[in-house]
Amino acid sequence: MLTVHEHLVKNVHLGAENSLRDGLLTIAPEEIRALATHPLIRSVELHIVRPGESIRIIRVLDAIQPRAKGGDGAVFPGFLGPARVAGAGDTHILSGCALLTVSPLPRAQEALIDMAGPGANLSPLARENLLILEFTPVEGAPWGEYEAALRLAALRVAAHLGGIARSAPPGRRLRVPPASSAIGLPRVGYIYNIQAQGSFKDTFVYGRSARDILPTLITAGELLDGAVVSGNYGHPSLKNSTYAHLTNPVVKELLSRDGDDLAFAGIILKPEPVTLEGKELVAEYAAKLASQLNWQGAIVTKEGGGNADTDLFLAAEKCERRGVRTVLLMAELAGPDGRTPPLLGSQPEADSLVSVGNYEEPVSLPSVERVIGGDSLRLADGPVAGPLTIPTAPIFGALSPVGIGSLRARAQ
Amino acid sequence: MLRIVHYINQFFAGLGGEEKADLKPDVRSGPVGPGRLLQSLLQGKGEVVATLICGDTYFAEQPEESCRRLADLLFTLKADLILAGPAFASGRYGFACGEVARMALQELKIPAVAAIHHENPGAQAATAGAYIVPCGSSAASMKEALPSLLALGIKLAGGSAVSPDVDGYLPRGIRKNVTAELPAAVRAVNMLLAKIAGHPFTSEIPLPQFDRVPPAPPIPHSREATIALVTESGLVPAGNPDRIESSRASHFARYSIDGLQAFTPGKFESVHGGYSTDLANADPNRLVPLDVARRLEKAGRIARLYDYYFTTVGNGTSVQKAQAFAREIASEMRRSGVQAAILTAT
Repeated sequence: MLTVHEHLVKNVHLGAENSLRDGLLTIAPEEIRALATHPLIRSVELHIVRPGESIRIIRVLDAIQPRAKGGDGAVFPGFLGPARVAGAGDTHILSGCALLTVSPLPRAQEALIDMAGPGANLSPLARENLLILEFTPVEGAPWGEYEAALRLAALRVAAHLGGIARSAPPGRRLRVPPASSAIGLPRVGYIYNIQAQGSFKDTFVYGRSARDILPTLITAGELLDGAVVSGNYGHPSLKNSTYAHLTNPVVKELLSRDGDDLAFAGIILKPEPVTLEGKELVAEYAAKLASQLNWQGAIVTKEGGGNADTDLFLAAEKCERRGVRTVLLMAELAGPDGRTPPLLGSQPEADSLVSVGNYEEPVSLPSVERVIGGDSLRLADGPVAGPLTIPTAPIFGALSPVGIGSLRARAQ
Repeated sequence: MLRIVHYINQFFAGLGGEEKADLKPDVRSGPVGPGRLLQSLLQGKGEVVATLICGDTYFAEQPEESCRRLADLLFTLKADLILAGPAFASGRYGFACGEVARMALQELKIPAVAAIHHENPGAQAATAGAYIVPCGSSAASMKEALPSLLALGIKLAGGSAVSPDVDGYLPRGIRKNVTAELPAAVRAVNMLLAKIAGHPFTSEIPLPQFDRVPPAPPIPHSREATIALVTESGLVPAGNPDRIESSRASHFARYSIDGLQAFTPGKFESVHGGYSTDLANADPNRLVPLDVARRLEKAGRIARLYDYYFTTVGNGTSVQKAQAFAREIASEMRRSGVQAAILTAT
C-alpha cells in the first residue's frame, strides 16, 4: 500500500530558506544549483514562471512533478536510489507545480509552452507554477552523456523539492492499493505503451531502458514513485513526459473508480519496438497477460506518432481476439485543414477510439513579453517572442496520448 | 436584416423543363418559386433579396464558368447568406446546388447551405467542405426541407458554432480541435464500460471505411482462362463517344478490342482529369496492356482475351458509384465465362 500526501502549491518563489506554507513554496536557489552541478553542465539558470505570465518557454525537454518519500527509500528508483521495487510507504507530492528542463539538444524536437493566451489553454504545463532549469552544456560535451547528466540533475531537484513538503502541514491523503479488492465489477486494466527506441527516444523503468523488455505488470504506486522516467525528446505533444507518467490521468481515473463501477485490474507496461516482429510479439504478450489476469477490458494508450499507431492497433487486435475489449486514446492526423482522413491505418478490432485532438491543426499564438530557452525557433521564422502560427504538435503535452491535454477533435 | 440570396434551377423558377436546361446564370430580384416559401418562413428575420437561376445542363457542362458568372452576380448583391435548392434527388440540380454552396463559402466567404438528398451525387460537395442539409428525394418533401435549410443558414450567418451531430448537416470531412467537456481518460473509461456491458457507444474518430475484399482464389490454369482488361484510367476511343466524365464519373463503358493487336495512339485517348495524360496518350498500352496481353495470348500463356475492355474514370468517383460499376462489370464477366481480370489503375 502506498500513501500519497498531496500538497497543493499555489505560488512559488526563490528565497533564503526552503519552506512550504499556505501553498507558498519557497526555494533556496543555491541548493538547486549544487544539485545540478556536473562536469558536462556549464551552467544552469533558474527561472520561476507562473500561470498567466506573458512568457514563452522553448526547447522544453521534460517536465517532472516534484515528490519525495516520507521515510526510507527513494523516488525515481534506479536513478536516485537502488533499483528496488517501489510503490509502498509514504510519498509526498507537490501538485500545482512542476519542474521543467530546458536545453538545446540535437534530435530534440521543438517544444514550446506559452504561459498566457490561447497557447496556455493547450499545454497542461501552463497551468502549473514552474521552476525552470535552463541548462547549457560545456563545449564539446558528448550529447548522450550531457543528456543523462541533466536528466539525473532534474530528478535530484524534483526529489529535493518534494522533500520540502515533509515538514509542511499534512496534505490531502490518498491510499493507493497494489491491487483491487473490488468484486462483482467489470475487470478493467490499462495497457500502457511506452516508447523506448534508442537514445533521446528512450523511456526508463527502474533506471533501465525499456527497449528490450517484454510487457510487464506495474502498479499505480510504482508509477507514482517514479519507477518510469522519460528520456524521450521526440514529438513534444505526443510523448509521455515524466510528468505524464507521474500524473497519468488514465491511472488516476481507474484508481478513483475502483470499487465504484469497475475493478482496476492492473497496468501492463508495454514497449513499442522498432520492428514489426517485435511489435507483434509485445502486443500478443500484453494480450496474453490481460487474459491471464481475466481482464474484461483495457484502455490502451501510445507514445509518439506513426509507428506507435501500429502498436495501438495491434494491441486492440490481439486483445479483442482474446475477448478483452479495448478502447484506444488516439491523436488524429487530419491535416492542417482537418480534411485528411484522421487515421493512418485501420484494424477492424480497433473500433473504439477516443480523440485527443488533431496533431496538425494550426494555432496562432500572440506575441509575448519574454522568452525562456533561446532566441530562435527552428519551426518558424521571425522573432521568437513575436506572434507565431504553428501546428498544435510542438506545444508540450497538447495532444498527450495519456490525456493530460484538454483537446479533442470533432467533425464540423 | 439578413440579406439572403436563393439559388434554384430553371424548373423551380417556372421557366421550363429540359428544353430550358441550357439557360445561362441569371438573377431576379426577390424570391421566386420555393423562395416565396422561404420568405414566409423568415418571419421578419431576413429577406430573400434575390434569386439566382441557372439551367441544369448549362451548369453541369460548364460548372467553373457557371460558378464564375454566379460569383459575379453575387458580388453586387451583398448577400449575408446563400441558400441553394432543395435539389431533392435531381442529379444535375444537386450538383449545381452543392457547387454553388461550396463556391460561396470557400471562394466568396459567404455562409451558404444547400439542401440535397443524401444519395444525390451532388451531396458529395459536403466532403469538399460545403454545408449540405439532407432532404427528401422529391419535391413532395419541400415543406420539410426548407425549414432545415433555413435554420442552418441562419445559424451560420449569425456566426454560431455548428456541428453535424447537432445541426443535422452531412459530415463535411473536416475535423476541428475543441476543448473537451470531459477528460479523455474519463471518456475512455465510460466508453470501455459501455462496450463491456454491450451498451451502444460511438467512437470519437470515424473509422476509415476501407472495403476489404478477399482476393479470389488463383485461377488453376491460366492457359485455359479467358482474361478481361478493366481500367479506371479513362482510356476511351478518340472523341469519348459515351462522354465519360473526366472526374466523378457517373458511368463506365465497354469497347470492343476484337481483332485489335494493340491500342493505337490517336485512336484511343485518356479523358482522366486526375493526371497528365501526355505519356499515356503517346502509347495507350501504358494504361491498358493490350499489346502484352495479345502476345501472351499468342504464346498460349492465356486461352484468350475477352472481346471487350471496360473503362471508367476513377478520379473523384465515389466508392458507392464504383461499387455499382463493379457489380455490373463482374456480372457480365460471369455471364461471358471470364475467369480473371487485369485491372489497371492510375
